[in-house]
Amino acid sequence: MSNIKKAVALILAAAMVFALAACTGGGSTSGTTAADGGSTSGTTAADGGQSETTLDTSKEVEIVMYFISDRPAGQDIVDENMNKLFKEKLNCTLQVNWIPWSDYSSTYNLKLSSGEPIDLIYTAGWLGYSKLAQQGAFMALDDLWPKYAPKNYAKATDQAKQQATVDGHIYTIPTLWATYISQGPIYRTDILKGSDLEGLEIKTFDDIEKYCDYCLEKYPEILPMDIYQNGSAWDAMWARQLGYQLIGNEAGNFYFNLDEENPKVISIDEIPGIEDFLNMMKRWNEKGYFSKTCLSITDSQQCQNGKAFIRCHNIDSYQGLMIDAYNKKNGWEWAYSDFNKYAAHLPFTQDSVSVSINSKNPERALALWDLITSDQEAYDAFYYGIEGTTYKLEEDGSAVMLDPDLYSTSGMWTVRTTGLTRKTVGSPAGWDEWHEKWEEMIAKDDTQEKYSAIVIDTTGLDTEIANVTDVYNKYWTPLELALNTNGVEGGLEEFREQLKIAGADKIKEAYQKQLDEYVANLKK
Amino acid sequence: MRNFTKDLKKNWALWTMLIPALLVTIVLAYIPMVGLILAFKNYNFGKGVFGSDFNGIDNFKFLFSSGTGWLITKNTVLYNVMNLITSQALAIVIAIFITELLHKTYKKLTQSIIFLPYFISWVIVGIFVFALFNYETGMMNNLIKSAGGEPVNLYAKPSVWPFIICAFNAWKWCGYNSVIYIAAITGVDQEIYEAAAIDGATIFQRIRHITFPCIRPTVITMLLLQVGRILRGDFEMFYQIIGTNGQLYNATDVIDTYVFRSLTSGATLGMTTAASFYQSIVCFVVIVLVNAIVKKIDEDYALF
Repeated sequence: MSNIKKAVALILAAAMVFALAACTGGGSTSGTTAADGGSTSGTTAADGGQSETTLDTSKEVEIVMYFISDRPAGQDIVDENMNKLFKEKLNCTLQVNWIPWSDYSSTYNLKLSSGEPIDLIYTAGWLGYSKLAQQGAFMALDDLWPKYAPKNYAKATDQAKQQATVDGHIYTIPTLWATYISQGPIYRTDILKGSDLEGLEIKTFDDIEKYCDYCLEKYPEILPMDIYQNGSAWDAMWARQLGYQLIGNEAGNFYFNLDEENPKVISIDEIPGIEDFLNMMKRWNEKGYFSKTCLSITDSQQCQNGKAFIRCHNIDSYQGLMIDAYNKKNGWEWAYSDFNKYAAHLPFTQDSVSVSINSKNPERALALWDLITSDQEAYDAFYYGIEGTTYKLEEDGSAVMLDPDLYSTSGMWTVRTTGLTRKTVGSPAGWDEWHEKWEEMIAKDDTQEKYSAIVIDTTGLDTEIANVTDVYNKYWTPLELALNTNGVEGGLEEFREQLKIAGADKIKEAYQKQLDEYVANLKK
Repeated sequence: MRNFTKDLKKNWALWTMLIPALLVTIVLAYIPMVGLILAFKNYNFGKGVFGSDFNGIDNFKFLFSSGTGWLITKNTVLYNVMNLITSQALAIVIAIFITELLHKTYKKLTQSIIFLPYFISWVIVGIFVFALFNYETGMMNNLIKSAGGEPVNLYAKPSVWPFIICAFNAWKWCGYNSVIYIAAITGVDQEIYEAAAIDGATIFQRIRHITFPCIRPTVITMLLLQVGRILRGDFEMFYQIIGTNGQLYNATDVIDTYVFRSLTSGATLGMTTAASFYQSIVCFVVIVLVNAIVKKIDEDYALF
């Protein structure tokens, strides 16, 4: 008996030694790779100093890129086609890996932490760009970007560069395509034909209610509002039309009032009139505009699938719905309106591309990105695919996607570049006008635009942000849709109480300090 | 030590046979444990798991500073105790019924049908639940409406969800668990039953005084094995049935779903590792306690 006990003890000891050995082994390897990465980037930077064209393309390399979207069925032929071009120009091939929409939230961070040598990876504010950068997931591009992607660098605005800066370093290449804060109602108009509401332009929340009442009356079997498990976007739209702007994009849903000279950071429940908004949502819920079990609905395309008539989203979604209707030839017409009090660009880091810290060929990867974002031929091959197979060009240079089931451009927003992106046939007629109008508004009134360069540092707030996010999921989302059991008053009270426990005050204080500094800088 | 080398020499064949199992355990169970070190670190992608800086017990604060830690621990334990009791008790009852059935085809058929849910994945079960209970088009509300009643929104009543989850869990597992009990009952010497029948014992008396005592060791082993996973809430079940429906979180959040949700909505790797670490520690304590209790009652039944 005691023999066996000793044996077991010995085996356990051996197991522990083995585990320790494995652990130190792992430690040393990760250490060396990091050192390697440092030295290579060091030498290339030095090389770059000697002459302009130092990119060594003698060795063929494969650039690995990760992108979040569902892989189009015809991606294989598109890959083959573009790689022929890339091979010829830069002696490299590009392998695009797709993280599907259904699991991006669970796999995106894992891909970065796995240590896989990813060269290019999509990133964005809503994916936690600045936090990931602070955690060391991306390579600093301060020297590499201007050196190996000079054309792209020249095109990027100073504002974009400022937004890409985290702790004094640039970790991402922002998009070259201006996007705007454009959340607003998107609604079907073909169903209004022949009714009193024909030609209705939704301008207020009352209009939305009128529209939904009409839908319910005419199509009682369809719930007019597209709301699913992610909750509703009406709250943010409501706050924006009052002139409130979200601060610290990724974290915690805090707002400030654009009209105040020295704005104060507040949480959504502190915006004056919140009770009225919640009462309106309660009325909408009681009237049956959306499902009372909407938080368990997984279908995020209810409008596109004909299961709803109105949703709150950005102008890109509006364009998507129009193109979809054009391709399906189902006779649906959509309209969009802008509720925002002020116009502003979205941060250019909304869609951007970073180089992973584990990348083996950052120079070539950047050179490739430069090529794609500056050369029409490379851009077309990457974004539109093969002429004659996936797309065809009209005489005015706009593109028609030939077979949306084979290949569509829906997944590659990051690459969109002003000057290279073609007009897509089927896009809404007012599309360009909206963009022009916003540019004009921004030029005239920078009330909101002047805040677009603010980047909030969330160091030391991890615990509170995680807790506050959870409180939002648990209490705000049901309350906003009037799905909670204790009414508007009770729900608000509970939400406020939970926010306090979760440490919202600490976040507010930290945000306030940074906002004050930013405002002080603006005034200088 | 010498004894061990002697034993190694004598039983080398047995020891060699042990090696594969040992390796698998080390590779799959012990080496991954090293990752728990992250619970005490501020994870940095560039520095990696071992290079990141230590930050003491900061990561654990996230779990307890808002009181969520206690809530999910309580939920995890209660759900598992409830699921354990219902699914095992049902399995025993089913096993006894099936063994008492005489008609062979009917017996096989019943057993197969009860076993079937085991093969249905939780993803599908999640869709069942939604199709049954959703407010507008759910089957339950359609039935109520056609009978002239007022539709009920179960999703607004968090308190009923523990029972729904428990029912689905029992439905899915009892067939599978009953197979083990059927095997145990079939193993009982038939002569005992015959003797009892001759002595005039009724069917209930036979079950009470023969079947139960005979399968007691099986029951206890099964219970102990289940207790081992008491803090491992069946993640898939909770996730597929509840999804991201915030209304029901307070009633249905278990440690696993909370960890998963935090990881996907902004918490750092360190914080979520800390939560998992906490789960493992509580789990270990529970197993040791339960085993000690069993040992006190009857030493033969204890696992270790």
